[in-house]
Amino acid sequence: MNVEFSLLGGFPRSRRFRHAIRDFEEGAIDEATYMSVYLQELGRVIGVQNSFDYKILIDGQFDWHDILRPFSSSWRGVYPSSLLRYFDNNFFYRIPVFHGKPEPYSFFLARKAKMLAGMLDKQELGKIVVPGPVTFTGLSKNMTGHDDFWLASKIAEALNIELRKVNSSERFILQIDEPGLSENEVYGRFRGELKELYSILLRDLSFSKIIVSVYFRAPVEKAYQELISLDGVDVISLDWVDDKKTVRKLINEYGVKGGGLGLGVVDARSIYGEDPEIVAGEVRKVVESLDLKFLMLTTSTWLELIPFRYAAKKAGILASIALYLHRDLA
Amino acid sequence: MYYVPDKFPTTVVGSYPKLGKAEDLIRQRKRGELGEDEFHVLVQESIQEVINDYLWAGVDILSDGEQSREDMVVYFAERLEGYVGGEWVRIFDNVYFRKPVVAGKIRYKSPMAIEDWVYASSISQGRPVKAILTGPYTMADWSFDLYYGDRRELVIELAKALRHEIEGFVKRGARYVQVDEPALSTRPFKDDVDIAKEAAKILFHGLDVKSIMHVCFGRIERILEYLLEIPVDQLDLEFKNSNFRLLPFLAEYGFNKELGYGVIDVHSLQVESINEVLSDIEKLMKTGILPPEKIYIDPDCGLKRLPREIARQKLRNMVEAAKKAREVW
Repeated sequence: MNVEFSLLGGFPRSRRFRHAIRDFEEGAIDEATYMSVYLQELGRVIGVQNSFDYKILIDGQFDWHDILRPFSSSWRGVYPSSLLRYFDNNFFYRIPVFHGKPEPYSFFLARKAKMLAGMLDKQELGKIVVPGPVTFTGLSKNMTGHDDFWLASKIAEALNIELRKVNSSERFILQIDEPGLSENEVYGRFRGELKELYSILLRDLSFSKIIVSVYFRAPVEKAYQELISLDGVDVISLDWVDDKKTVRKLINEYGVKGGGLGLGVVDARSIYGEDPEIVAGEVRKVVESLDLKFLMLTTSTWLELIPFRYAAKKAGILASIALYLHRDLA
Repeated sequence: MYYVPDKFPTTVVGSYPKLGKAEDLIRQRKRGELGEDEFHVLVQESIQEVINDYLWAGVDILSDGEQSREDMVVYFAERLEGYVGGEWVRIFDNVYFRKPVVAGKIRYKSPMAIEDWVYASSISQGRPVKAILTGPYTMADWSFDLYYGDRRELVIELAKALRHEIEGFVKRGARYVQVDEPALSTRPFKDDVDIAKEAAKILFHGLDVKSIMHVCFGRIERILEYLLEIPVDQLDLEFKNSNFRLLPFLAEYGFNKELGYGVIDVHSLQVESINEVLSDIEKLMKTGILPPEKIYIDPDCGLKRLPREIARQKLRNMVEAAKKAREVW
């Protein structure tokens, strides 16, 4: 079994970058100055991962105000509005208000991917993270006059356009975040429709691997069943930290997707440092009975909800867990 | 002596935009340039401005506007034993707070918010001032825990500590005590509400005071049934922002407590008109669940993120709408 590991997504901002964002938004520094700080920060986040020998690297999305914002502030047909709590976190996102068909035109994702690619060694892969269409729609306000499925399919189309603009996509893993699939209220609006939405989202994409990640809670049972039958998706990644019992039940009862399994094994919302050997032992018990080709270990969610230095520690803990499991399972 | 109307008394949830020098004073205190006592004396000027706004708007039951509190959790964490200062964690956009860390046994040290409340009460022209503190469930949930390793245990220890503060409020004459538990709506499960219920017993048991729990945003309907079992006199809930989605559930679960009815959207810059608020009160009255005597009209949550002028006007219209409602029902 091949054991891979990567951070799930966002990395916290350093103090310097926080100040740079503030100064840039207030007009106190120009874009060139802001970008130079951005690139140094990117180097720092890459450096943290390099120091623990990560082979799949994220750019940290530290310039994203929330997972939806880069899209809701750069597409036509949508704008970010008031704040709402982001799942069960003491963190708020701005509700995207859709008033028409979403249309990308500045293709920010391709630019970000290019910057990340420039930092990768030949043997490394980058990871691009986008919100899934179900979660995106579920967290938005639909003022389009059309139903939610229409909106979700248009969001999937818009995401697909963004993703097709990414050059050398074979150098990237694509991760689609669907925390909304852990909530009945969100999933229930799209029950039975994931296949169609994902066929739109994944059309003509050629990423090295495609992962759908559900976190904060385990996916709704029916949602998991739909997820593991999706065409074009290689791995489903689950939040092991939050609910071990349900995750175990889902994979034992319904199996895994394509011989691979993603597990969020390091608590990204706590600063408590896990003992890597203990966590590795728990994970080993779950996966050794499964006929897995590969195991993708991640943090339970994005690391942006804990302070920078703890995020770096957690990155190290994840790498250590992977090392233990690689030794035992390879 | 001010007589709070029997029907549809108006109130606030607690926080208000920081006025005057409040922000600067908080910073100075944090840098150690001001002692705690001096800080609370100097912040009185800001509290005075808040009270003036409330009086101008005509609110019946006031608050001190939480002018001393940089954040609802950090403020109390800095004053309880067992906490250590945290590091910066993002709360939205590029706005951060120092998420506190529980690193030892939680113990009450000395009064935390009582002095501000005493001052606000002294200038409120006889109107009662609600004593408000962050609830133990939310304190626990919005802190990092490196000591207890068990959510329930931490919540209960926090409740025991906060009980001392509530006793202090009651001794000084507080008639209304509200604990804010916004984190409750984020984990809408019975087990979590049960922890809050156990904590509420510790907080209020045997005290002669109107006990209030404020919960806002999130899927409140999923826990409403369990919230009703919490031993408090009043549940103060957000309605406006979620377009009154909660209303049908009040009837379904046989809501029988007093209700703090949130009719002002604190996340919107648009000032609700008097007729809009009146119409929203009518929505509740049409359900026939509660008599006007058990309905407190207030905003969805604290007003701290609104510009002062908008906050003031929202309150004024809310009060005017409540007056009209008293004529109708």
